[in-house]
This record gives sequence, structure tokens and C-alpha cells, in this order.
Amino acid sequence: MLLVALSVLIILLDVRTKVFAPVRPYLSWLVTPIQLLVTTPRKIVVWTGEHLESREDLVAQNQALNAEILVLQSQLQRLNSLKAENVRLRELLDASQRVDEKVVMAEVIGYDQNAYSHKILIDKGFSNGAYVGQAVLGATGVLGQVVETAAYSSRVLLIADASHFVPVQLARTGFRSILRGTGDLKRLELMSVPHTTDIKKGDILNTSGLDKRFPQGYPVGVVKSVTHVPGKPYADVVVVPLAQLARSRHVMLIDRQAESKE
Amino acid sequence: MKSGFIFLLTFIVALMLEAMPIPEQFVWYRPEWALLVLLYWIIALPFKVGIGAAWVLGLLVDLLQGSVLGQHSLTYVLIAYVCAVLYKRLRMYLRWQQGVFVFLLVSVNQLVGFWIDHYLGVAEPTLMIFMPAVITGLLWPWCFVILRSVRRLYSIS
Repeated sequence: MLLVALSVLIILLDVRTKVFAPVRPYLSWLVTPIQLLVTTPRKIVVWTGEHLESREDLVAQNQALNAEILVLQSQLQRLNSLKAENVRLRELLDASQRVDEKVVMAEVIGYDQNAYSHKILIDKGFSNGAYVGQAVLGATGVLGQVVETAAYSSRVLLIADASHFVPVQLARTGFRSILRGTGDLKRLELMSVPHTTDIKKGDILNTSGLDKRFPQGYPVGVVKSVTHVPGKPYADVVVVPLAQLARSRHVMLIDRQAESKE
Repeated sequence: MKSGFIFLLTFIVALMLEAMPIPEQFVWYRPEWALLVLLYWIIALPFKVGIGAAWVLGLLVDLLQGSVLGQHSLTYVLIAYVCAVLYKRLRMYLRWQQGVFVFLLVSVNQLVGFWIDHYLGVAEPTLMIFMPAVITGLLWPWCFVILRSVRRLYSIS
């Protein structure tokens, strides 16, 4: 009876207040060994796979990567001149400078086992500088944000989770709105889009940066369909996330705390 | 001392299975490993593994899964209590009848978990929430045999 009451008390405290927020990372120490036991075998398999690759494969891979570097470098040259031009124009306009964000790479070590929520587990924790609210990007788009940190691992809430919202901006027209997760990994919904808005299939949505959490200008999703239902105040806009939410293995953590301290 | 070590070992294995990453589409088919092991020990040795162990185990599962702190503690304590009261009757049941009983208990676990998630506004109502209960019930006979042989091998009583 006592334990039932205690459990209910803990649930209510955890849901209603933030009492456990500072304690939870330390409690997580208790289960860190178990997580290590589970993730280590896979890491060993991946490591041996990487180290036992045949010479031909490595040479082929190397050539492909070199070719890719060449292409990327040529693009980078243009980017550099554009960047310089951007800075000059901003100086002319007296606008504030955009700082380059610090990036930390992390590896996905697990998906959340709870079927209602969409979270992933990554191998960087507060010891590696991760913090709650940190934006997480994949190679092709925004993945989500850190919601819980332990010493050497963190939980990332994906943008497809039903409790996740991202403020976004249409790349083509600059129309701003909020993108809501639905609980389905391949479906997001754009909120409060008036019927008269210029929006169509294939439009790219970028982060607007208005939340001060996600850096501005990263791609989030692409519009899949726009349907106007007569009688509804807003259009139904379905968006497909650009990042591979369920399949990413390497993710980037954007460190904006360093930036705000400067 | 030895029995305590074996309890700890089986619970750690159960928690590892609980934390094992599985593909997105199979997420509903994961049995409640920790609950399976807990139920066996409570039915086999109700005076050694009890409600206190259930509470601690539930808390560890909460930390591992990132669910609301106390959610699994609550359901595990309730289930452990039912088992500790009924263990004599449960031992008399046939194996498949025990399986059905395990299904019912895990369903309670799933329902309470669903209520809490629904209260938080993150759960969509679906009948799939009972899938883990079905799988756990089906796994019960095998789990029972394995854990019984572990118990006999180390002659814990």
C-alpha cells in the first residue's frame, strides 16, 4: 500500500513538477551499466566489420570519397564567396552577424522502447556537453531535440513525436507557421495555414529560428499534400520529414550555449 | 547470499533484453521481460522476492525506457501484490492457464501505462497496446521452464 502511494506520488511529482529533472541524470547512473552491456556487442561487431574490410573495398570506398570531396570542395568555394558577400551585405544593413554553430557528432545507440513516443538514444551525455533543449540534426534535415541527459547518453525527442513542435518557414514564400508531429514517422502537419496561403506540393520548409532553440535555416520537411476542406478554417497540410528519422546512425548536436555565452 | 546473486543476475538479463534496440515496426511485439522474471520469482519464492523488489525493478525499467518516473513501479507493485496473494492457487494451475493469467496481469500493466501516457497526451488509443501482453503470455511456459531449471541448478529454495 505504502509503495503504491509512493509510486503515485512520484508519478504526480514527475508529471506536474520539475523536482526530478536535476535528479534524473544521476539516477540514470544506475542503468548506465545495463545500457553499456547492451550496446557494446554491437559496437564490437561494427568495429571488427570496419577493421576487417578487404583492401579492394577500402580502395573503392576511398576513391568514391575522394570524388565526393572534390565535388563538395568546388561547392564550398562558391559557398565561401557567398558567405563573404553575405557578411558584407549584412554590414551594409547593420544587421547582427550569424555565428557558426559548434557541432558535436553523436551515434544513435537505440530507439525508444516505448511505442507511444518517438525518441532515440544517442551516445553523448552531459559529460560530452549535451544539454536539454539542444537541437539535433541528421545529414539531410532536422531530427529533433534533446529532452533528457545522462552522463554518457541522451534521449532525443524526434520531430515526428506527437508532443513535438517546430517553428518553420516556407523557403519559397517566407510564410511562417508551426510544424506539429503526429506520432507517425512519415507524417508531420503544418498548423494554421489559411486557405489563401500560397503553398503547394514540393515546397521545402526550413527552421525559422524563432524558438531560439533550433538554428535558423535548416531544412525540416517537404510538403506532401495540401487539401482544402470546405468549412474548415485552415487547410490540411501534410509534410514529410527530410531527415531519415528511423534510420539515421550518426547525428549532429548543435551547441548554441557556447554561442549565447559569447 | 547465492540466491540473491542469482535473482540479481536474472533481473539484469531481463533488463538487458528490455533495453535491446529493436526495429521500429516490431516495437509492439516486445514482451515485458522484466515482468516475466519477476512473476516467476514471486510465484516460486514469494517470501524472498516480493513487492519491494517489484518496486525497485519498476523504477529501473522507468529509467531505462525514459517513461514517467514511477509508472512501472506502480504497475509492478500492483501485479506483484496480486501474485503474492494468489501464489498458492497459481502454482496449482496448468501451464497454459498460468499463461492466460500472465496475459491478464500484463494487460493491467499495459492499461495503466496507457492511462498515464494518455493523461500526458502522448498516446493514441489502439488495441495494439495489448500485443505485448499476448506475447508475454505466450512466452510464459518457456520462461517458466528456463527459470525453474536455473533455480534447481543452483538449488535455491
